[in-house]
Amino acid sequence: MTFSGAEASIRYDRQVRLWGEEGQSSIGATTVCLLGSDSLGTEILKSLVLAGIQSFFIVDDAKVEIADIGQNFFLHIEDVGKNRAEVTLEKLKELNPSVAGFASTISPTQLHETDIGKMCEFSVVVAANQTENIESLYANILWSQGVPLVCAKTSGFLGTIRICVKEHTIANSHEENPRPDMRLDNPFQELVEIINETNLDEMTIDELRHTPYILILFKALEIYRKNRQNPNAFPQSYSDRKEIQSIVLSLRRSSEESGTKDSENFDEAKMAVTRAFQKTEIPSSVQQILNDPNCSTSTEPFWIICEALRRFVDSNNGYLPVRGDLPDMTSDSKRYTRLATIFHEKASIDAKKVLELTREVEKERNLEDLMISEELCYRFCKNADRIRVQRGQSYDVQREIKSIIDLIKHLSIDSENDKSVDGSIWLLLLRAVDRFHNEKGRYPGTNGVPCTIDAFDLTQRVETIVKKAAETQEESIKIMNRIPKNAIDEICRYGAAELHVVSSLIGGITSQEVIKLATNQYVPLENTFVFDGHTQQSTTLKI
Amino acid sequence: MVSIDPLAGERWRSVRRLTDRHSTYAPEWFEAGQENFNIVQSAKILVIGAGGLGCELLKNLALSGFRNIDVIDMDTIDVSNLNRQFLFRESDVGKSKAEVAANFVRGRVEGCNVTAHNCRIEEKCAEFYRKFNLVICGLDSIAARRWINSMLCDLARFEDDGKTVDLQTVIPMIDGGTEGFKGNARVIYPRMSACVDCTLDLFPPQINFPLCTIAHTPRLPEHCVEYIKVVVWPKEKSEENLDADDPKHVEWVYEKAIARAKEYDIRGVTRRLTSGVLKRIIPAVASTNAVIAASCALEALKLISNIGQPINNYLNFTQTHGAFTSVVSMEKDENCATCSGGSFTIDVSEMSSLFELIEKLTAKFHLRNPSLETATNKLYYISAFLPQLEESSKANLERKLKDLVREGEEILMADESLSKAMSLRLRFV
Repeated sequence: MTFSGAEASIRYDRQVRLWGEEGQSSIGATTVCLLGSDSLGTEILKSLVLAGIQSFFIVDDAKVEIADIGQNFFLHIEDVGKNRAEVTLEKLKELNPSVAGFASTISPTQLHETDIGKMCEFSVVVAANQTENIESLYANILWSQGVPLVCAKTSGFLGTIRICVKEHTIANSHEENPRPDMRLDNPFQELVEIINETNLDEMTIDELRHTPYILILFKALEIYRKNRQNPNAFPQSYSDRKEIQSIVLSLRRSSEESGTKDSENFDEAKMAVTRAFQKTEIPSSVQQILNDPNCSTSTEPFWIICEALRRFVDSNNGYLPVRGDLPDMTSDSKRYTRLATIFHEKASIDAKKVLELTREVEKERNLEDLMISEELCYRFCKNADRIRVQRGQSYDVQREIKSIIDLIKHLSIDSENDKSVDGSIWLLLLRAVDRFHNEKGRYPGTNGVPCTIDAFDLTQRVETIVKKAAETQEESIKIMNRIPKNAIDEICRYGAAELHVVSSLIGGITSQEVIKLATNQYVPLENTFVFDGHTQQSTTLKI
Repeated sequence: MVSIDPLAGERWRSVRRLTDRHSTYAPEWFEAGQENFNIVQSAKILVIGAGGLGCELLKNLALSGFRNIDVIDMDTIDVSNLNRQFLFRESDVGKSKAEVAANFVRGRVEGCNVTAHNCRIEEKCAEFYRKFNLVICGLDSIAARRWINSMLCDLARFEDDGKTVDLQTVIPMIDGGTEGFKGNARVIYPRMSACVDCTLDLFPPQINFPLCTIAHTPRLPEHCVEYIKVVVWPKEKSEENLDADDPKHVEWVYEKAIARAKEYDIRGVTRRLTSGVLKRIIPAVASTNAVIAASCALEALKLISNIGQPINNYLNFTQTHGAFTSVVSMEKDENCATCSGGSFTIDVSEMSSLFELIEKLTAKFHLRNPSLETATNKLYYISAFLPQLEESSKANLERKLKDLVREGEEILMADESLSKAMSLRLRFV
């Protein structure tokens, strides 16, 4: 069942306010495969189904155990003994009638052998508490096909998320407080006209105090240039900007009744100086994208528009399209709306040129006409100064362990009193837990084996890993000294416990990362996230 | 060696691993053993709010082993809740949130008793709140948070020395909040650690557009909507209150706002923007609610079972750019009117009018219709019960503060959003 436009509009209202209709429609086209339907897996799917993805597919051969009932909300006590994938599927589907769901009761390893190609048809694949072996099996296939794999894990108070994606493009990073695009250094024609019409000295006090601060800044710049006898001078340094600020304040006039010069628009102008007086330049991260070889070959919409953008910049004196959003500022209605309108119109004209260039590139690459909609192109231009490309690391256990150990090596160890354990250390211990499980078929702290025995075993495994990865014996001793014995005991205490609250927390974060990957909005974490429930602190490591 | 897991057939195996086993990361007084889990099962927990956070909290608590949970919420279910309030279905629209949520969790998690209270928190008395071991809030209203905070501070009593807090009377409060991809979770020991009022500045002030801007110099689409709401509706529809939940009312405002925007050449008035301004809608997604509720419930589990050290004491979360959690320690304000029996000090110019002071207080404390009085003088009091004070109150609005109160003089402020009158003192700057 799909919702009508009106139904969807109300149901998804609170989230569309964040990621827009375009974000919602990307989510509506997203298909997710989940490996493993334990509490972590179902909590991840819960938020995705609620958000309105197109469909999900659960792969899990587990039967429901009594302990599952104590931790997984998408099971009922009567489900014990049934196929976990099938039972959780039904209960997850109830969350949103527009989302389709499917389940397979074969194990992720078997599915891999029989249905390998199918995996690459999903938008994103999520592995919930899968072993290193299964993760790496999937990671290798998906990597080559460019499908993101998100590996989430929990153990007792700990949780980790690892994102594995070759290339991820971000058209709208939703940066908070982006620098305003006011073109103080190179105003376009319509803007120049307004500036020239503006004469602060001839205004009434009331007009002066309702002059939008962008005009005050332009006027202050005129005086600054006159003072320096340089028509192209532009404040660069801190002291230059201080000078501009004092010019701004000198433009105030006091009214007869109040006797004060204070007024809100001048305060705003002074405040805005630092952020507004920046050269209109292409940020280096964006320049790098425009120089990327993908621009000249790729048939992906992101790269096609980037190529068009590159050509636009070439013909536009090296400037990006005008963003078109004027910050709010104290003003009378007439002058603010006039300014807002010319910025908006200029942005439309620039975007239109980029669209024409986009069509040109589409034709050159023999792509169907109109693959990229006008709306998409316009939106892209609005955020062109904040586009991003992330290039991930492939799933390579040996390399990852090396970089984890490198991180531990460079940890600054604080006071003796600090009991908190760094995320890199937890990560290393969890790798050792994986080895333990791989060889013994059970997790440390389970099956009634005393924790002390398992802790001894786990310590030895950690040592083996460290010795192998460290460059010298000295280094390996140094690293082992940084691993608290208490932390190893703590891992054994967990006995692979699946605390629902930790599953829910890691599940929530994982699902939002999946949404980022699917919508090309916001910035996914790079590339490993470690959450420590003791302190509720988290770290993000690039391994 | 073949060993058998003593918890092999145990439904609560995961939680029991932590309650039954020793840890050096738990508080010093933690003694491993099943008793810790028994305490979880017998603890009485109150969840305030059965919305985005509330639904998650109920699930989290039920699956942490808690069995005696009460939930209080006065709201009914709306279609726009369904993108995150996962205990509700389309067929539940219009029903009580508290009741539907409680029923759902009872049905899903066998043995968990969830009791619903379909009412406002203000309708429950101190005796009701006193019986809980812990209160967790998932609210979107600052006024409601402050009310329960103040109630719990009042319940915490001092010993005979007047200084030491009687621990038996302290009901810890865990408070979660979300907005978009951001959220926070905090632990409060009433009268012992920073309370909601100690750190009131953490909340963004209510955005109120100045009347002169919306009336004379509108420039944003929000100004157009606000103008219709504040000026046009009372004039043209005086017989009816504007109800932002009534689609007909929203439509009426929308059309008028469009016309006003056209007149001033302002772009961007849409239906979504109109309803957003009218209802002061906070954007919300399922994932952030899941994270914050889990963070709160984890602290609840730690506090009741001692399996881990509680955070100290305020967690921030954000997920637009990567994912971050960080914990900061908020300090108790020893002069906090709510938890330390002090007065709030307000910095204000002695030349300001009473009207300006009231506007400032309303924004800072998120009030509805405050009344102010000193020991000798009723400064401002508008109520149907005492109409004789209306005239003098209105006259006072224009008067300068220096003519009404002395610097440092105690002012008592009452408001429907406060559980009791609040003490203020002015500092003239």
